[in-house]
Amino acid sequence: MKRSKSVYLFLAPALVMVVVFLLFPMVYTLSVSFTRWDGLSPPKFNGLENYIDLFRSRAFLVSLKNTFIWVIFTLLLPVGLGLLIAWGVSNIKLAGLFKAVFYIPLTLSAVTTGLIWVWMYGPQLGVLNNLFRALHLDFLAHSWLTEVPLNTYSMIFAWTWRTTGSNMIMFLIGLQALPKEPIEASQLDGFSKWQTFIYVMLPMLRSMTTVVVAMALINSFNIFDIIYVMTSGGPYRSSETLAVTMYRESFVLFHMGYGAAVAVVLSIMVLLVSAFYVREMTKREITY
Amino acid sequence: MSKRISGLMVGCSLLFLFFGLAAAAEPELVLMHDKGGAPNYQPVYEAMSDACFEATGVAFKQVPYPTTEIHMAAVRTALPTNKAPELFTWWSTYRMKPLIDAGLLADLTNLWDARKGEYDPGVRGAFEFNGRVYGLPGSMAYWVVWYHKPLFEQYGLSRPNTWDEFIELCDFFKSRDIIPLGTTVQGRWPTFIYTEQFLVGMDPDFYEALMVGKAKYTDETAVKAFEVYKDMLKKGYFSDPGTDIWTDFPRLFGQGKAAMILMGSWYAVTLESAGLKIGEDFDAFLMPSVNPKSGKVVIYEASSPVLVGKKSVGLKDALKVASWWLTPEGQYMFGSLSGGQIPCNTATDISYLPQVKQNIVKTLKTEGYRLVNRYWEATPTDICEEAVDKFAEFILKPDAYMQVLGDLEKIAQDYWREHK
Repeated sequence: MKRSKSVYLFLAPALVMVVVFLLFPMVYTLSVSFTRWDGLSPPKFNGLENYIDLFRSRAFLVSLKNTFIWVIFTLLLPVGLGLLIAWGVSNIKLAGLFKAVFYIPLTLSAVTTGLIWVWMYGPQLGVLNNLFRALHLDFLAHSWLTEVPLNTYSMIFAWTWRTTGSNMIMFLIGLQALPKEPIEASQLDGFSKWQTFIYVMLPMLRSMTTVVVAMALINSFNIFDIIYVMTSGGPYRSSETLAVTMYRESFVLFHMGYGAAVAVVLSIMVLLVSAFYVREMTKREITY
Repeated sequence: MSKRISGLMVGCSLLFLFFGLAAAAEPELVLMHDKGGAPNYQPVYEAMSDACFEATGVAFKQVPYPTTEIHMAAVRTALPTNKAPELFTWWSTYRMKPLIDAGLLADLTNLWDARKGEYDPGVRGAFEFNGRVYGLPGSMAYWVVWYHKPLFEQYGLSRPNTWDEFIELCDFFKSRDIIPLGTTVQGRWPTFIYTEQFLVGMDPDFYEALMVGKAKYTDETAVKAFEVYKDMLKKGYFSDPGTDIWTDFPRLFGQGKAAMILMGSWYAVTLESAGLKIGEDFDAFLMPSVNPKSGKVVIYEASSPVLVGKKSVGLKDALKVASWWLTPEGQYMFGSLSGGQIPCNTATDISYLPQVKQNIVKTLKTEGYRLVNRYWEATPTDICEEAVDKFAEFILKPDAYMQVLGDLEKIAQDYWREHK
């Protein structure tokens, strides 16, 4: 009895933190999502009206579509490239240099990354367009952040530039921890390097891949800062994601109830997708 | 030893108590503002506090926020509580209406009445609802066309007096591969700049009616204004809509690759920070009305308005600050400290202004220009915030102007249905 009491005592600080900073805001946000509230006058209960309005709103549907585009391309590019680069640089000379080159962008904040790429993408004075013009490839010069849907892909590219390095490091850790025997055995059996990578190393990397993909999934669903800096979700709300829509509705328009409804939808999506993914990936343990 | 430690502790406690009581005895007024991201603004408010203290015996402490959104959220959260800021910067007219409706702003009508004759009635109107006035302007901004003076001189061009002359200028620069007019959709809000100008230039009465829901975006006047704008967009008179007007445009302008931009009188500071000299490298003119029958009209903006929190502890002292800020001296101080901004109080000595801005003020006065409030403040925020995105859609897809106008009218109708 005495022992169980002391257990609760040790648990208490963490529990208080979870309740105050996680559970309470979640429940509060959920309750706000059923109201109409401008943050000044008392909230008025309006049932499911915010949720109905959400799915009637063209801006919300565009935002939903953009969120999925971000999720898909974040998995394909920063994660996929991170994996390939990790494999590519793991056994070459000057590996340290390559690792540093790919890792350096991660040391910049998302806001700084956004600003750098706003200057890169500038229509008249931007580096990219001027490079194309200097090479007489004028047809490749674009208004990267105002042409729809090019603007979303331009931002995904900037995000890829920043985050590939972190995925590369994670995969490098995973690759270094792999047992040597199965890899050597596959090479003795005549596997090419690529075949060894696909059929031997990749399955053994499953646990690391699960972590990297799960983190990328959650981050891409919640993507906000780089978009806010680069386009503010514009032009005409064409590049908003759910996190940007939530912020705009809550803190620009002060439609607190509507913004909370977006937050609830986003949270449910992240929870469902990541829980499903992690459960599926951890079902089977690889043994070697 | 322990006695010494105890003595030290008691001494420290007394010291803390003393300073605590001193702080409690003299509550310092707070001015919350959103210029935290512009470091050169913080000395302005510091100096304003010093000047105010000298004149009234009341000083204030600034609390800067780095972005507009954070500032707005902080102010809105604090206003209904006993931690309400005494003073805070905001925006006029419909941007401040929710705060008035919630009963959170101090009534400044008496302070304005004491300054009768010193302010244009339109400016007072920007802070007035139901006959009561709830804020004061930091300074005044007029929306003028900034033009590249050496380019005009090089080609022997003069400032336009009519709409046709203005279009001739645009044609001239376009034919020489110089961007006639700067524009952008970046940052969302700048999309209303030319839209409001052409609406006002078509018919200022219609514009004012449109702002308060007494006219429609689908009315003939609005359609005509959008058609004028569409033609200009299609003729390529504007810079790429992705141009950053804070960094890229001043450089294009400085290099003589762009000739003009319609912007508030505060934009001179942006051009100056790019190394250009006002009066030498650039000058300003007032854009002629599209429709000559509209007369001489200029869009104004009550810049950096200051409002007073009704529930603030230091309300009495805050009213003293507000009263001083409205005086010619207060307006002079803020205008001169903040990089040569135009004062709102017409009795203010404007000799501190650069000659270009003095000329604007004189022209407006001598030629009897009508002042019209800026779109951002003049129409309800819920309409404006959606409209600026619709204007962006129009700028990027000019042929879709009728659809955009239809959407705008629906947004306006939805709002006015609920708020009339």
